Amino acid sequence: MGVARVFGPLLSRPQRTRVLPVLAIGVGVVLALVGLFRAAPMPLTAVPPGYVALVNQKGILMNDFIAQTQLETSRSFAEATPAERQRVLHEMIDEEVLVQRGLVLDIPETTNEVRGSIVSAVNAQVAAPVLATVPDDGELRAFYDKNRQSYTVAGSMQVRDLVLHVGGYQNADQTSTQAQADATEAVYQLRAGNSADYVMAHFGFVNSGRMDGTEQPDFAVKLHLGDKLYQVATQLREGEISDPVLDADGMHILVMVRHDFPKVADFSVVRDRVYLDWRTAQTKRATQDNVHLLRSQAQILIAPGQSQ
Amino acid sequence: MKRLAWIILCALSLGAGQALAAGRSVSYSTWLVSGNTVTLRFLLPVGEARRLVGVAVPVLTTDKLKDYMLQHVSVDSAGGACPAIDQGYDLGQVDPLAVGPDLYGFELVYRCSDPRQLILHNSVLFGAVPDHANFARVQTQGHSVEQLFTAGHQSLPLPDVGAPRSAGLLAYLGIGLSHILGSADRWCVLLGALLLVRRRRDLIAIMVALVTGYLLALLVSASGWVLPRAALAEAFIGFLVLLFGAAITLRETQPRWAALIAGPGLLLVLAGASLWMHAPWVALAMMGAACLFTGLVLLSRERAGPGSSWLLLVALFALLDGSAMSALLQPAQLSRRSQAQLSVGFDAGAVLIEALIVSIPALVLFVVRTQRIVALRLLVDDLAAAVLSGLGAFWLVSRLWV
Repeated sequence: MGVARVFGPLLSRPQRTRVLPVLAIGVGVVLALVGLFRAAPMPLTAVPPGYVALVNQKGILMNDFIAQTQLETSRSFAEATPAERQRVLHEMIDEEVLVQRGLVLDIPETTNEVRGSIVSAVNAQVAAPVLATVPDDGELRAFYDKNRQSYTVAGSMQVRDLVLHVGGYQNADQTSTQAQADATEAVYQLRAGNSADYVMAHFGFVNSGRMDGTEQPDFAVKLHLGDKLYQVATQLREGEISDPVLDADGMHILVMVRHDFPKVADFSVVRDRVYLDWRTAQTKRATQDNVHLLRSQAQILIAPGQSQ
Repeated sequence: MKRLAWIILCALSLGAGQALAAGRSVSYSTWLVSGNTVTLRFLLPVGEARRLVGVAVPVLTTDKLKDYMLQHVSVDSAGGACPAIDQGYDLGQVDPLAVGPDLYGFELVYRCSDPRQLILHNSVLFGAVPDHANFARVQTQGHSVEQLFTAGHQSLPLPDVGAPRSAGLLAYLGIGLSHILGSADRWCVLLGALLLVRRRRDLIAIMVALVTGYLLALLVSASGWVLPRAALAEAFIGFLVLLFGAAITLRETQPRWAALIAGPGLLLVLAGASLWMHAPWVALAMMGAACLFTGLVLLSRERAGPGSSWLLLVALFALLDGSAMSALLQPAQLSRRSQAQLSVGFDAGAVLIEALIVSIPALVLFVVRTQRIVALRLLVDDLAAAVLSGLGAFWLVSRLWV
């Protein structure tokens, strides 16, 4: 009732025609001042919870302080003495001051070592969530199936390499054509079941000396025989005889004694390698996705005549 | 009469760019004196650096600015000029600093052969902008004092023993004086207020309103709780100029409903545009401006004239103008005490020069009125209303989204 008595006359003519404009002016001033002024950034005068110190309003986390103390003293934080904690905090404040100084001097933009460290840190940060997840066997097996060629176990072979030398002063009367004909006949004889010693005696083949007659891994055979003969050898199964192959020193015939072909290792055998390769692939994908995202958000201008 | 006023307004608007009163030109420097080494950290707002383009700096690049800095700051001692040392790492003598998007920062280190009779020289920007001011902080022998470099004070000798003297209140008074003298929009506010004076006591009321506004500004900046949004405040001062133009018109004519709707309507359109451009504070200020405009017009209809409500505009202007310094001083990171001293000097200088500006033409006006040259007064009112409204609208819109 009292309120109505006070405000009633104000809300009726003729006072209303003055009150309302004054009210509008008042509201206008208040709205304008709220829009024109902003809260000033208040400097922190006390260290907030969770921090051990503030350096130029930037905090040093208590967790970091505890971890650093444990690292430097090789003891738990509770066991570290006050003097040790003070020393660690002093070092951390020194480091923070120097980091801030480095940022002011724009060192991350101008120093290659710092740039490299920052790139590694950003990539590690991006990859961390990916690496934190532990894949199950299903995921690893899927990765293994997709990259089977990476898990091949090298094969081995035991092969005899017979050669009929052509040319040179020792074989002046042996032409390539004649050697080809002799080699073809020798292959026929070998495939008919005659021994290598018989062929060597009748056709003049000798052991090339490239192989020592023992079983050797594929890479060693490749090294000894050379690319040309090795490619022929990879196609031969146990007991098979190759067609004549002309190499630099004459006509060659390969006799495969024993051949274990390369095979893909079983998943259970190479599981650890698959896991490591999976982690590497996930990291690479995460960092590449991150770079793509950053590039899509960046405005990149290339100087004329240059390309990327 | 009104047609003549509009013709002159259009002519003036062609040169409105010249009337675009720029904000206060300032830069900041910190001089650390330690033995025979003087380290200078210089902060230059990007807007100020642009003033050098084409005149002192051909193209605005960091390297060109570095060269300019090297030529315009120096240190002398008893042993002669102190050379700026090469800071290594291909930096040269001037090390650019990362100090934020709106500032250029540079660091120079001078090594003097004799640490006695040090003199600091700073002539950055004074050639291009005579009313430029550099807020300096000098730290030497455990003391830290605030100083001021201006066009008339480009050198600062340091005592060999003890603290150098700090810039007194008079120095900051000078800034306040030159700030008002060099700003067309401040002149327009005072002109508008002057033209609304009817009685001698209105002059006193203007001074009271100015002093009240500046005192409020001092209280606001002394509290340290709030800071003005400087660019928006400049736009709002443009709006106040427009309001003065409207107030002069309202004194002579009854406001029509079209004016009542059009004025606030346009301001609300600006508010809407600001919201769309994700500038909520601009929108709020424009809504406040619309309410203020509406209230003023309604009151004028009621009272057949703006009455004394325009004094509120004077006080509002003084509050905004006085608060501008606290926003300008933020990069300088001065102590609360120094900032208060600076603000007092600035506001006192502004009030003094405004009192002078208001009182001299007022005397002329009273002479004219006693001669009863009514037609001349009406012509002046019409012209002034048109000019103030036009310029005010221009400043409001052009500064709104800076």
